[in-house]
Amino acid sequence: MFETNFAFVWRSLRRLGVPSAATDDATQEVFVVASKRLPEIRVGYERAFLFATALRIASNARRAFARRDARHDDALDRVVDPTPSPEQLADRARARELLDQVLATLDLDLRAVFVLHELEEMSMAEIATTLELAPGTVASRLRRARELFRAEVARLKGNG
Amino acid sequence: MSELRRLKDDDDLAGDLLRAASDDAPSPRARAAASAALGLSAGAGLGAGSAKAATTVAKTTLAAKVGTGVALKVGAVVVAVGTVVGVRQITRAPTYEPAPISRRAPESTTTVRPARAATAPVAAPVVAPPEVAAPPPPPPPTPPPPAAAPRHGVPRAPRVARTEPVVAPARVSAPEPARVSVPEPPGVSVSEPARAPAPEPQRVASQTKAPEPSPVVSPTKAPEPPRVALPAKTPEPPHASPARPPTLSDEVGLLDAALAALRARDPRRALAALDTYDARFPAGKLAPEAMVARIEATHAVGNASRTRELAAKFLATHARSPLAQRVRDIVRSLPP
Repeated sequence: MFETNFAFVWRSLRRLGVPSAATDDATQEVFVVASKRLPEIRVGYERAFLFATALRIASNARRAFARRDARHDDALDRVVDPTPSPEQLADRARARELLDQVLATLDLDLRAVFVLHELEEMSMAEIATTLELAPGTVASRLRRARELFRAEVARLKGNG
Repeated sequence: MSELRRLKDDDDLAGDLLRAASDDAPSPRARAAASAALGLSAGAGLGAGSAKAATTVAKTTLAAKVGTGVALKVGAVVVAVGTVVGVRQITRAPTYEPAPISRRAPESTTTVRPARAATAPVAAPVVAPPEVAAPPPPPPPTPPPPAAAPRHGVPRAPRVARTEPVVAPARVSAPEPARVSVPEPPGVSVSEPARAPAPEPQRVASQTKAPEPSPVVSPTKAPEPPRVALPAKTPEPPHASPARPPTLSDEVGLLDAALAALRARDPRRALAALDTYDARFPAGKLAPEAMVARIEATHAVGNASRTRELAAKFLATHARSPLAQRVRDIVRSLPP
């Protein structure tokens, strides 16, 4: 379970908004939780369990982060975040940073579906299983998430 | 509405952004640390891992005494349990400039050890650690030690081993103090193969009082065992840091850390990460990006003259870089 899912959990946490500096620790935390609750995890639902745990941890981390964020709001935004030219986007680190920025505008519910579908390339059915949601809910969240994602990206582009 | 096509495949900005995520992955170090925290040997599944660890531990008196649960943790030896448990706040070493990501590991490593020892002096049977640590990789040095140890009276060995952790972070300036403290011992042993890490541990164990004013030293002998265990695990880390040539993803990881710090309005941490970056990748592929990040961070801490200086340096060599405009904007925003 660990070997197969380590990277998956790590990526999920990252894209769910855990700051990169905290992702390693958070990943570990997910697995520690999983190891403690191993008996409760149904066979075939390991990933689902891990993702759900990751989601919870990410949600806590986001809250903590948002709190901290709210306190400073200053010049740095302007400096760090000038809208990028296409060339700059060639820089993947930078692109990822932007991606996370865009994802950060999505609610965690939407974000989870979006990440699983767009980045983890899961099918709707898999997502429904993973998140224990009705397929219809997955579909509508995904639709909504995509709209918002595109809109946010367009906004970024528009600013440039 | 089942399998829609993925945005990732689109040839637009959205697609670019999503594709950028594809090379984002955990470092082998993170994996190793987590694996250790869980008491897994490399490659073992969660269940199998615990079982294995448990068996090994069972051989030791420790297991008998403390029960598998605890034994497991001790077996996991230290490394990351602390990280998880949340001893993280303890900050240490003001001077070295660690990348935020990796800095975490060492902190906890170092801190946990004593803590563990302090709270659970029970767990100290000297023999245990080597045994316990043995399972993960098949490290050559470990098994022989017990036997060999008594014979070799290598008074200095332990000292070397012990001081390492303290020195290490500073020296390496961070990216992986965690592994640094680990690899060191083998490094030592390499230079003096005859004594090998083996004797050291044993010595340390038996000679506890001798030790120097290590920061870790605590009441009982307890602290030693974990220490001993570390060398045993080392086999993996060494590949990871010095042996393996740094990859682009290492660079990206460090740069990412700096950018994240900037975003988190912590320019000093960003600068620290960038120092680490420069130290590790003197000819890094992302050097221009790192440089620009440094300019931004310097600007953010309010050092205008230095910002100007760095900007001039950057523009002198990268006037046509796509990043140049950003730098010019920063310069323009500086007070005259």
